[in-house]
Amino acid sequence: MTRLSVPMTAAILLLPGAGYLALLFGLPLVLAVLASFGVLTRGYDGGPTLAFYAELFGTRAYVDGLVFSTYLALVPTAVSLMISVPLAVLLAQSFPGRRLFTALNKVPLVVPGIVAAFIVMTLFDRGGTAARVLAPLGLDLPKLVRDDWAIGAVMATVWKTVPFMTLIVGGAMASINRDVVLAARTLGAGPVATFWQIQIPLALPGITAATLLSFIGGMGAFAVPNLLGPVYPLPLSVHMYVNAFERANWGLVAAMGTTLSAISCVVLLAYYRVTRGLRAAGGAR
Amino acid sequence: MSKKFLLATVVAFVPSLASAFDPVGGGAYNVASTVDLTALTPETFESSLLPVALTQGTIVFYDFTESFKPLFADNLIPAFEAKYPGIKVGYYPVNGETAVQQLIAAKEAGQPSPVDVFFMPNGQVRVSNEAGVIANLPLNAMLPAAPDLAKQAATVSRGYVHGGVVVPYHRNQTAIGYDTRAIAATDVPLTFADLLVWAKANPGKFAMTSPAKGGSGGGFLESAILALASDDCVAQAKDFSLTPDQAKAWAAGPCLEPVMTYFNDLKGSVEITNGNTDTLTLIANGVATVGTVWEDQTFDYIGRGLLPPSVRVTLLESGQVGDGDGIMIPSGTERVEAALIFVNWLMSDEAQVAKTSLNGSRTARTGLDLAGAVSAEMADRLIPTAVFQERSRARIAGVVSSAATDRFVADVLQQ
Amino acid sequence: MSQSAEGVQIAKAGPRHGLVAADGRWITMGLGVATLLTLGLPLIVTALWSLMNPASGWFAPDILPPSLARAHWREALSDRTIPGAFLTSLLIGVCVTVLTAVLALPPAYALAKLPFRAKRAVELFVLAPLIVPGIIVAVGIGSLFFRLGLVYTIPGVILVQTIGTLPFMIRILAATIEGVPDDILHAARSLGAGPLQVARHILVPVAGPGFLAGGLLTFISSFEEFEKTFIIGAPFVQTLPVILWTYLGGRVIVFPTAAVVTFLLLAPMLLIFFLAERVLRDDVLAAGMGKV
Repeated sequence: MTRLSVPMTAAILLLPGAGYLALLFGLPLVLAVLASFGVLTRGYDGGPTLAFYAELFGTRAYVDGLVFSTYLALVPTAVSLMISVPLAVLLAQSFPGRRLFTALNKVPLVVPGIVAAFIVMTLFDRGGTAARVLAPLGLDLPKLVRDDWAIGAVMATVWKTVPFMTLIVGGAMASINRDVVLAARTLGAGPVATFWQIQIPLALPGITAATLLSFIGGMGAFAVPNLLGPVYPLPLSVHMYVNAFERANWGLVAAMGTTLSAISCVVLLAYYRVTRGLRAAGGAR
Repeated sequence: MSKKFLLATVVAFVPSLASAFDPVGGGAYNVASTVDLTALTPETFESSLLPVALTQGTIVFYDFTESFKPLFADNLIPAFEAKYPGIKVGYYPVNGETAVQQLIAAKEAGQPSPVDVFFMPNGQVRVSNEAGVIANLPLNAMLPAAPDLAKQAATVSRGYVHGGVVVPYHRNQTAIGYDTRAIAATDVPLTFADLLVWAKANPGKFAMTSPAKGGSGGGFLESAILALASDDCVAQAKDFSLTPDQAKAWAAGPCLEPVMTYFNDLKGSVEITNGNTDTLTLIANGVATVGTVWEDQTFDYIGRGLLPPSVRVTLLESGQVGDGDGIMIPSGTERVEAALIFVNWLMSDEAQVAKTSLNGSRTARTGLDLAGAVSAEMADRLIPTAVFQERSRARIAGVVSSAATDRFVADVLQQ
Repeated sequence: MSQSAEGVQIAKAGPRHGLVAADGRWITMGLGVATLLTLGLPLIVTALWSLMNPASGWFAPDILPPSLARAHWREALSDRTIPGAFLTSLLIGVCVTVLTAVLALPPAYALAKLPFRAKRAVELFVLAPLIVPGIIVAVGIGSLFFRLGLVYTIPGVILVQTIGTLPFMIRILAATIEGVPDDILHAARSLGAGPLQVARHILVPVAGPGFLAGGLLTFISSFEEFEKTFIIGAPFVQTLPVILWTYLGGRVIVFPTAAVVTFLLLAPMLLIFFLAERVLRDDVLAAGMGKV
C-alpha cells in the first residue's frame, strides 16, 4: 500500500467536518459577505458599493460600538482565564468533594445568559438586593449596572465563561503526559514552579482553544451587555439587531457582521503569532 | 344557513352598496386562494370563504407576546372553534423576530409559509412587508367584523405605512409612570418644562428609557418633538412619504435644536436606562419615582406583582404617542380562507371585548364601547379614559423617529 | 480514577505527605466558600424569584420576598407540552453530539498533527459559524434548508444545529490531540496499525477528556439552541427552548417565570452531566490508560 502524501491525507481528514460546513454554511456566508458590498443585498438594488462600510465607519456610534464589542470580548476573556487555569489545576488535584465541585462548576453553563444577566441586575442594580442589605449600614454600592466600564456585564459574562474555560482547559490537561508533572514534583519542584514551568506550557493547546472560543463569543455578545451595559456605547451586535429588524438596512447589517468577523480573525491570528514561541517550547518537550 | 344564503343573494342584487377590494399597493393578490378575493365584499365575506375554510383543517397561529397566552389559549381560540366547528387553530407562542426570519427564509426558497396567521410585533412590519412575506390583503377595509377601525392605526405601524395589510389588534400607549408611594398624583409634573424642574429637584428619580433601547424612550422623544419643535417641523415629521435620507436631513437640521437643548439640560438629572423593563425595575426598586413607560407593560407588570400596585400611569398635557401591534396573514399561506375567517373573528365585538376585559388591551375599533369591560381594579392600572382621549397622539414617521434617535445618541449620549 | 489524582496520590506517599493532605482540606474549604458565594447566592436569589408571590410582589426595601407562592411553578408545569419537548430535545441533543464527534475527529487530528499549507485559513473557516454573527446568515441557512427540503423534521434540526456545534468540537479535540505525544502515534503506525485502529485504540481513549468536554458543550449548546431550531423546525419540531422561549424572550423578560425555566433546564442537564461523567470518564479513561 502506498502512503498518501501529507497534503492529501490532510485534505481527506478535513473533509467530514470542514466539508460539512462548506456545504451548509459556506453559501450563506458568501452571500452575507457579498451583501455587505451591495451585491444581492435584500432591499437594495443600487449595484456594488462600499457605501455600507462608509456608513459603518463614518458613524461614531458604530465605531465606538466596534471598540466596545472588542472590549467585551477581551476583558471577560482575560479575567476568566486568570480564574479558570488555576481552577482547572486545582480541580485536577485530589481532595474531599472533588466530584461534587467538578459537577457544581458546570451549573452556570446551563443557565441562559439572559438569566445570568438578570441575576446580576437584581443583586447589584441601584436599589437591588445588595443595596438593600447595605443600606441600613449606611453603605452604598458603586455603580455596577449601566456603568461606563460595563462591570455588571463583565461580571455576568465571567460567571458564564469560567466554567466553560475550566472544562476545556481541564479536558486538555487531563490528557497530557502526567509522568512529566509527577517527575517534576518528585524531583523537588514546588507546586508553583510545576504550575508555571510544566503544567501551563503543556496545557497551552487547551488554554488557546478556551481563549479563542471565549473571545469569539464576546465579540457577538448581545443579551448580557444589552441588559447590563452602559447606554452608550452599545455593542455592535445591538446595532446590527436594530438595523436588521427595525430599519431593514441589511447591507449595513452585513457590513457590521463582516467587520466583526474580520476583527475576530485578526485577533486570532495575532494570538497565534504571540503564543508561537510558547507553543514551540511546549511542542519540543 | 338558508338565511345566510338568502342574504348573499340579496346582496348580489345590490352590488353598488358594497364594493369589492383591491390588493394593497395595486397589482394582483400575492396570496393563493381558490376564492376570487377581488370579488369579495363585506356581505359575501363569510359565505364565500367559509365553505373553503371548513375543508382546510388546522391553521397555525403564531403569537409574539408574553402576556396574551391565557387570552388566546384558554379563551379566544376555544370560543372560535366552538363557533366554527371544522376549523382548528394551532396556537404557538413565538419570538417575533425569529418567526419573521423563518417567513423570509421560506419565501426566499419559494416554499409555502409554515404559519397562517401571525400576531406580530409592530417593529417588524416594515422588514416583513419589504421582504414580501405579508399578504397584500386590505384587512383595514375587508373585514366585515371591523368596519370602524381608527384610520391611521389601520394603515400605519410604528410610523411605517403598510396600507392596511396588518390589522391593528392591540393598541398601546407610551406614558409617564409614577409611584404614589413617593409622589402624589397631583404633584406629578405633566409638561416637559415641569418635568425638567422636577428632575433637577430630584436627581436620579426620573428614569428615562434610552430612545435607542426601548419604545417607551423612543415614544418620549417623539412626544418631545411634538411639543418642542415648530409646527412646520412637526408637519414635516409626520410626512410618511419621507425617505430615510430625507429624514436624516430633517434630523440634522434646525428642527431638533430645541429638543436636543432640552435633553442636554435634562441629562444630568435623569437615569437613562437600557430598556422598558429596566425603567420599570428602577421604579420597583424604589430608586425611581417617575419614569417613561408603556401603558400595557405597566398594566401587565402590576398584575404579575413585578411593580407595586401603587404605580399609576398618565399622559403629559402636550400629548404622548401611542402605537399598537397587529395581525397579518403571510403571503405564503395555503389556507388564506380559514385565516381570514379567524382574523375577522378576532376583530369582532365579542373577541375585542374579551381581550380588553382580560388583558386591559385597548382596541382600534372606534365604535366599540368598552367601558363595561374594564373592572375598577383594572381601570386603576390604565390611563384614565378622559386623559387618554384628550392626549393620545399618533406616531411621527418611522424614518424620522429613527433619524431623531441617532441625533439623540450623537448629541446627548455621546457628549 | 483519573491520572491526575493518581499522580497526587503517589506524591502523597513521598516526603510531602502531611502538607499535601492538609492541602486537600484547604482546597475543599476554599472552593466551598467560593462556590457558596458565586453559585449558591445567585441560585438562592433565582429560587426566591421563582417562588415570588404575584399578589404581594418583592419590592425595595424588602431584602427577602414578604411571602412565597408556587404560582409560577404551577403555571409552567401545567404546560403539558413540556415532557414531549424535553424528550425531543434529549433525542436531538444526543444525535447532534454523536454526529458532531464523528465529523470532528478527523479534521481535529489533521489540524493538530499534520503540517499543511493554509492551516490557519482552514482553522478560521472551521471557526466561522461561531465568528460570524448568526443574524446575518440565519435567513441564508434557513432558505438553504427550505430548498433542500430539510425543514420541519428532526433530522433537519439535527443537521442545522451541527453547523453551530462542529466548531467547538473540532477546536477542543484539536487542542486535546495536540497534547498526545507524537511517539505513541508513530509507534502504533510503524507497528502496522491502520488509521481507523489508531483512532479507535489510541486517539479516542487518550483524547477522552477532550471528547467529554467537547461533548458536554455540544450537548448543552444543542439543548439550548433556539434560533436555527425555530427557523428549521417550528411549528412542527418543538424543543424545550422553542416552547420556553416566550418565558425567556428578549423583548420583555418576566424574571419569575424565567427563573422557573432556568431550573427546568438545570435539573435534567445536571443529571445528564452526572451520568455522562460516570459512564464515560471511568470507562474511556481506564481503557486509554491501559493502552498508554
